[in-house]
Order: sequence, then C-alpha cells, then structure tokens
Amino acid sequence: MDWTALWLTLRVACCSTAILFLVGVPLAYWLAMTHWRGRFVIEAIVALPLVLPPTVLGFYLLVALGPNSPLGRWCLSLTGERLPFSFAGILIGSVLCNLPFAVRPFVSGFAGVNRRLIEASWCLGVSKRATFVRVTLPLAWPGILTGLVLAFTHSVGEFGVALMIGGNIPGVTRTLSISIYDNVQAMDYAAASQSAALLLVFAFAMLCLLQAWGRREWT
Amino acid sequence: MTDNVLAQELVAQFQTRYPSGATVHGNLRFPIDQFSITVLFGPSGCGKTTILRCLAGLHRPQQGVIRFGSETWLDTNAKVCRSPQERDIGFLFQDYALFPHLTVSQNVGYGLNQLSAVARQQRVGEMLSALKLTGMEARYPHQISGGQQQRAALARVLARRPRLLLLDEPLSAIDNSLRAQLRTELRSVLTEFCIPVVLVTHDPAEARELAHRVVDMSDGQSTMTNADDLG
Repeated sequence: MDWTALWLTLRVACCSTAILFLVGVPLAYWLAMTHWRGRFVIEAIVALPLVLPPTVLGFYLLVALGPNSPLGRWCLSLTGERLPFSFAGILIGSVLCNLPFAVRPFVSGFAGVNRRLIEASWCLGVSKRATFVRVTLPLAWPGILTGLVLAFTHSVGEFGVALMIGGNIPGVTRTLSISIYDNVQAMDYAAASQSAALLLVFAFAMLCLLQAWGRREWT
Repeated sequence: MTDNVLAQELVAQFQTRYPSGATVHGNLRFPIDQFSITVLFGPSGCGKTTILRCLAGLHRPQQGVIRFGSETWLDTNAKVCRSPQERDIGFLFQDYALFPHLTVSQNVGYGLNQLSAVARQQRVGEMLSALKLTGMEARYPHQISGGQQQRAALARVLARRPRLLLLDEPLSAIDNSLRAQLRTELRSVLTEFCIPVVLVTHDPAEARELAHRVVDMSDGQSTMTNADDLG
C-alpha cells in the first residue's frame, strides 16, 4: 500500500469537497431559484465534466494553467509556483471535474424545498438570510449531503484529470488511483489489488452511509 | 384616493397581470383598528390568492397603492414596496406551510426571535393552550391530524400578534364533515385575538358564516359588499 499516495488522495478529496461546498451551495441555490432564461447555459457548463473525457478536461486545464497562458502567468507572478504538476493544480482539476457531482444534487435539494415554506418564514418576520439558514438549508440537506459524499468519493477515485494536470510525482501528485496504474504497469498486482480493494470498500461504505443518513426523518 | 384615507384603514387599489395576460384588480378598503373579517370570494382562478399575496408583499403588482393606516406598503409610482418582513402581517397558507423539520412547539415559536427565551416559551405555551394543542409540543407536523395542523399554523401566525391576518382557504384541506365545526372554532379564535382578517374562500357557506364584508371577485373585478347586505 502506498501510504503517501493515500494521504495525498485524502488531502485532495477533503480540500476539493470543502471548496465545492463553499462554491457549489450558492451556485446551486441560484440555479434552483432563478427564473433567468439563460440558466440552461450555466447548467450545461456545470454538467460538462460528466460527458467530457477526463483527458480532454485535463488537457485544456494543462493548457489553461500552464506558464504560457495568461492565467498561468498570473498565478506564477502571484505565488511564484507553477500550477501544473503541483498539489494546487490537481486540486483545481479535482474541483472542476467533480463540480457536477456536487452541484447537481445540491440543485435538486434546493429545488425540492417547498417555496411556500420559504415565504411562510418571510411572513413570520424572518430575514431572507436567516430563512436560508433555518429553513432552506436544513430541508435541502439530504441533497447537499448526497452531493458532498458523491464529490468526495469521486474525488478519491479520480484518475484522468489528475494524471493529465499533475503527472505522476511521488508525494506531490501521485494519488492512489495513479499508484494503482503504476503498480499494474510494474506487474505488481498484489499492491494494486490492496489499493483497489481499499477504494472499492471505501466507495461502497460511503454510499451505504449516504443511504442511511439521507433519509428525511419527518416524512 | 389618498386624500380621504382614514388613518386607521387599509386601502388597497392595484392591478397585476399574469403572464397569460389576464389582469387581477384589487380594490379593498376596511378599518384596521377593530376586528372584522373581509372575505375575498369567487371561483378558483379568479385571483383571490394573488390579491392576498400582494397584500403580504409576496407578489408585486404592476400598478397601484396599498396603504395600511399611515404606512405605505406599496406605491408603484413612488417605487415603494415593503417586504413581507416589514409589513408585520400573518399569512396562513392553504396547505399551512408548517416546517416539516420542526416540532409543533418549534413551529409556533419560529417567528418569536425578538422575545427572550423565557418569554418565547411562555408565548408558545399560551398559544398551544389557546388552540387546544397542549400535548402536541414534541410532535412533528406529519404526526398530527389535518385539523391540528391548521390550528398549529394558526397558532404560529397569531403568536407574533400581527397587525393584519391573511388566511388563504384555511379550511380547504379539511374533510367536509369537520369543516362546519372548524369554521365555528376558527371564528371564535379570530374574535378572541381581535386582529383584522382578510380571508380567501370559494365556499359560499364559509363566506356567509365568517364574513363581515365580502369582496365578490366573480366578474374579474373586486366588488365589496357588507355581509348584512347579502341577505
């Protein structure tokens, strides 16, 4: 078992899930509530990583974040470090790759909240922000939890984008999935099988937890 | 219109259009310093609930004015539109809109954050007792009957002591057999709390029994009549 790769994988998954929660919840709330006609464009952009081959997403990220691109030059001048083949690079890749896995369940969660409950809260003198915290968020929680678990689980197993943008640098960008690929290439099936079994059990356990936690107690 | 507005009257004259093109006219005037029930009566789809939502600030009419005593809630010319939170009203929704993740007690105390914890608990206790919900405190909305849900929603609305009560078909979710009994109970509770009420119904019996004045919306307009004149 490559413990360094496991530790790196967990760090990427935790950071990616946290970022997706902070960015995804406001985006999903807006998508669920807006009547803007152009909403479908944003929804299509969010869903794109679902249908795009990971290598394609990884390739464009590599180009967009590379030192020859304006974004890459700006990041280089700001932090003094290149984004490709770094922890920050694979983290950005993980966030973008997992965007639909988080945002789409978030949107479903918010869209499922009865609008009249929100209006009832306003009519009881409670501000919009407090209503969001006290009514909308708790009622949308099963959807949000689903999104977080799916994003975390998928992030742990992410391969294509991580390989394209991060390469295979031990301790820096070599995640558990890439480690399995390495082991197979080296014909070390025993090590590959250990890591693969761990990912399989982990994914199954997370989905079991999701099913158990996600049930609404009040229905 | 505004010149002869009495300080203690609600005056509403507005119109709003649906995306389909149909227009709803709101035309209401009644005293707010005494208890009375103004019933908006008419068939389904004539815009009764829309008028109620305009009064609550949940829907913004395209044109018109709503004044509550000396306060302007809506004046489209002056671009004034107060939010529901600023109007200090109570709105009872047709499906009661009880928060499913909160107990009956938490639902009733939901809008009482301005009170101290002790005062809030006391007010909740009073409301539960007044609406015969004692013993139901820890239950969730799906664990109580339709009639109890209606009383819990009414308790939640009344707990804040709003200045105006808006009731959207409050008995429509109740079985026919229970409706007559609950109508009497509703009238008795509303009388006890002495808050002016605007109530929406399409049930002639409900309108006859509860109304002090009726706004007939059958012809797309709002024609106000005193209940005594209905015969």
